Amino acid sequence: MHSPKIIALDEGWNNEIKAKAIDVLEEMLNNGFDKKSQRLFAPKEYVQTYTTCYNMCTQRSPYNWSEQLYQRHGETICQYLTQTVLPQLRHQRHDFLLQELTKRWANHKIMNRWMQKFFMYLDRYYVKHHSLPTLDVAGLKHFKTLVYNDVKKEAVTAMITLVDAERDGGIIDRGLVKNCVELLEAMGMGSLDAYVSDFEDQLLASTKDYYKRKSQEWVESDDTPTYLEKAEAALEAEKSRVQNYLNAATEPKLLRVCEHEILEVRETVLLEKDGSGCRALLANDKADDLSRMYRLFSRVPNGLPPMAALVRAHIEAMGNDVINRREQRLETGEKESNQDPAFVKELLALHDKYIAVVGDQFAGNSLFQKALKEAFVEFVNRDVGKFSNAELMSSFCDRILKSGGEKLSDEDVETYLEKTVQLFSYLTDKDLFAEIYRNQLAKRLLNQRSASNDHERMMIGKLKLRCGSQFTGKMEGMLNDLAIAVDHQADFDEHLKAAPDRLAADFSVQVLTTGYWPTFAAIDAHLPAEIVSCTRVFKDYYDKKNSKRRLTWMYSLGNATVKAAWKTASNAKKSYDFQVATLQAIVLLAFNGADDKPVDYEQVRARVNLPDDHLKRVLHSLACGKYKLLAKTPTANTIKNTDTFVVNPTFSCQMRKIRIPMANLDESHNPKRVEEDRTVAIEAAVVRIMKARKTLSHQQLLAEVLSQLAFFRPNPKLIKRRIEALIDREYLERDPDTPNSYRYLA
Amino acid sequence: TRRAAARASSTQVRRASGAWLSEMPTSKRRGGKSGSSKKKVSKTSSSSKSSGTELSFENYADEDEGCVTMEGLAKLAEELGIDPSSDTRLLALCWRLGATKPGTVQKDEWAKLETCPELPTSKSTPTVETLKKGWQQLDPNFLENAEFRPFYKFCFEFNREGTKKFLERDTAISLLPLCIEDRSVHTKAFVTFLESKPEDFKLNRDQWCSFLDFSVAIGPAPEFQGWDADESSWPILLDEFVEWAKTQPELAADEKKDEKKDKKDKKKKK
Repeated sequence: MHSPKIIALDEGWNNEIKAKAIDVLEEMLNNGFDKKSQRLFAPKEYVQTYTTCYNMCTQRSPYNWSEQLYQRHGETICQYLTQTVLPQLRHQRHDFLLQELTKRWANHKIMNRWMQKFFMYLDRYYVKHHSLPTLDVAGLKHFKTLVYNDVKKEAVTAMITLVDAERDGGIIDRGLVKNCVELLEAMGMGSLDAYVSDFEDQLLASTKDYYKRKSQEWVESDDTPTYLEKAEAALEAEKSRVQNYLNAATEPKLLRVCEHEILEVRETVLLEKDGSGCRALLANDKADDLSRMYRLFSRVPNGLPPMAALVRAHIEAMGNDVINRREQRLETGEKESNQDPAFVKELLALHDKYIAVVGDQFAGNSLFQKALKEAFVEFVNRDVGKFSNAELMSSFCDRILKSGGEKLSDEDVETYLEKTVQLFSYLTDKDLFAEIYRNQLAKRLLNQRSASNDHERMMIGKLKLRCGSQFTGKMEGMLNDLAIAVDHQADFDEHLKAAPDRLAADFSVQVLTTGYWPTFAAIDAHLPAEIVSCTRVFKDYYDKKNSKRRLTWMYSLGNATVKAAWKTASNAKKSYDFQVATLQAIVLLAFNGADDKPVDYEQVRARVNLPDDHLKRVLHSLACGKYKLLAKTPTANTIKNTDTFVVNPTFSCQMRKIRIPMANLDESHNPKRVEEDRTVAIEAAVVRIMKARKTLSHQQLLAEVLSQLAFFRPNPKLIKRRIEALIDREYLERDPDTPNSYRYLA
Repeated sequence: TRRAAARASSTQVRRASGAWLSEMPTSKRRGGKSGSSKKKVSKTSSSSKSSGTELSFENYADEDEGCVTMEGLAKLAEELGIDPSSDTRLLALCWRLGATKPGTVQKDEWAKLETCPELPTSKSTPTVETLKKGWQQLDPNFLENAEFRPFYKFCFEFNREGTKKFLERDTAISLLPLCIEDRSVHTKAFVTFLESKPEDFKLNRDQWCSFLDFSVAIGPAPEFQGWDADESSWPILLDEFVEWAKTQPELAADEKKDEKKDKKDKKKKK
């Protein structure tokens, strides 16, 4: 058994620990050493020191030197720091300070580590039992209190100076700063408090000042795109700065400060700069600059709305330009028609352009989509001249869908129609468009001028997608009527084969459902016998099939082929096939039996019973057109009630089949119809709303009605008029208890 | 034929199915003639000198119509010694009786002479004398605004022609000031405004009733305090009236005068 010798405190300390370990350590630190190559203490040396400490701490009381050793551990470090490290640091300034500091810090880490290793046994038991800071932490604290707190102000200033130098384009020792940052982080002892309050706050403040100054310079000397380039570069640089040598937590705060000074504060000036601000960039199609502007201002809270407002103003101005130019053209005498394809194309092109800008430059951001929409709504509803934009757009579609119009590929047709529907979506008076479109569609369909049924359905499909099936119900109805007509005709033909009646002519009928089609003038013409018999046969057939329906013949529509024979000069017979409208056929057949005797206007009228405006058009087409089937006396180019007509004996033509065109009574649509429909729609909306809500104030009712009417925007006075009408018809009453309110009457 | 004869001899009391005022004989001087050409009154009224002239339905009803018509009311007016074309108490009487068909009083309505507490005749057997004695209390001027409203509406309803839902322009022009009396500072101006409308202009119930509410809520010209062009839920006719009145500076002075006069009168009444 071996009872080890008791080590006395001072003996153990001075002879063993201090002499062999601490002094050695300090000397190595002071004189420098090759960090990489060697360990400071060989294992054997280290173990010895460790064991000494261990022994001194496990000796029985009163020889248990744990407390003393712990104290001396602290004192040693403090002494070293105060006497050796601090004076060195106080000598230095700026970069040199930082260098010295980092060196001393590195040293301290080493010292701390070894001191902890030497006295490690204390950590195991003594420290724990007495709830004391561990050796490691204690050593760190000493460094902080004695060294760090002393020099931190100077050091931070030096660091920031370096950062600013780098900002100005200088090259700095980044590693140096990084090491200092690492020190700061460590000084937080588990948190970033030291870093934040001793360094970061100052950094943010100085950054703010820096960029305040810089941005002022830039604003004064640069145009907006240049400024934005610099801004972008600066922000990138700051970001990489953080990544390189600052703590990652600084990044958002630093960028926020920079963004605030560089972008947020200067935003208005930049956007509105003459010649290079937002509107100028838009006007000059500066795509990259606009993209950059968007990128940068989207980083700033509320940065985009002012930009969107300028974009909206610009688009509105461009659109108003187009409208104004049209107005000019009309004022300087251009002939006004309900067609202006160049104008519509201009609007479509404008739309395309800015859809692309919003999509590409502004990443499809909803603020900008809204700006575009609002701008378009502003000017698309500015009608100039006699014809509304709704009508011009509808006629534009008419041209595309008509046969004999522009020759376009299927793709092009679809593209144009799609774009027109997009433009249409900005119209407030959509119901007006629908009415005009419907009329034009009817004309196309009935005059067989529609280029392609597929295209028609496609266009209706697009409108339906946008506005719902109620909007396109009638149009679809029209197409369906004609689709079914083919089957019905086949059916009728079958019936004819089986039936005993023989028709005087080839006869085909299109039955139109009244509600879908525009109202056509009903003309009570006196038909020639041949046609009368045909209509009678059909009517009987139809009535048998559909007992509850009533047929009304529309003679102003439809066409006929009239076979006629003329005697030529050589007394031979030449026959012709004239393709004419039904009305023309009626008039021509009226001349059968007149032979060579002239018939005056009144007699013709009595015979066929057509109203004057129709009759005159017909006679004009037969007597004053290219092919004069009738000879008129006098030969003037207008039809008067005093004219006389006779079959033109000298008529001849090389061709055999001839189409005789007739001027159309050009009523594009009935504006009264639109108004009536609106009246109905408003009243229906009011009743619906009041039925659901029972009582409502005047203002609320107006608001609800406006929100429910999708296809037009009535002015409040009109709604008020309808409300009064409904009061009169006792659907509502004024609420006797509440002024300005209405009550539903069940 | 009997009817035709009667009509021929009665030039002034026509078959009244029309408005009160245009049909109503206006003065007593016609009283004598109308007395002689009275239509089928089954019971000859006992001499009006006797003090107990019963207000029986049969005395005043038109036999063909089966109800009291304008003629019957004219007769009553004569007996009461009042001018039926300007005395609104007669209208108030019909109102209290609950007359529903314009220009007429049905039998069951007439019977309310006995039962309606607001009528002076309800205390005993209704006679012309009791009615005459208590005639003053029928004055609509005594009614509070809340009670006046239904009476005012009645004036419109009663003066319509048959089943029509409006008043002709001229009827409205005469009737309105009569009914509304001094409850509105706008009456004169509004009447002038109506006069500027074409002859075939018609005033509907909503417009008539709203005029009263308008007069209560909206201040005199030219400010028309309380009227807002954008938020107004007044009938469009009244909006037009205000806008028209604003272009007539003379009216402003008048309205202010009337307002002052009304205030004086009200003070006097108290």
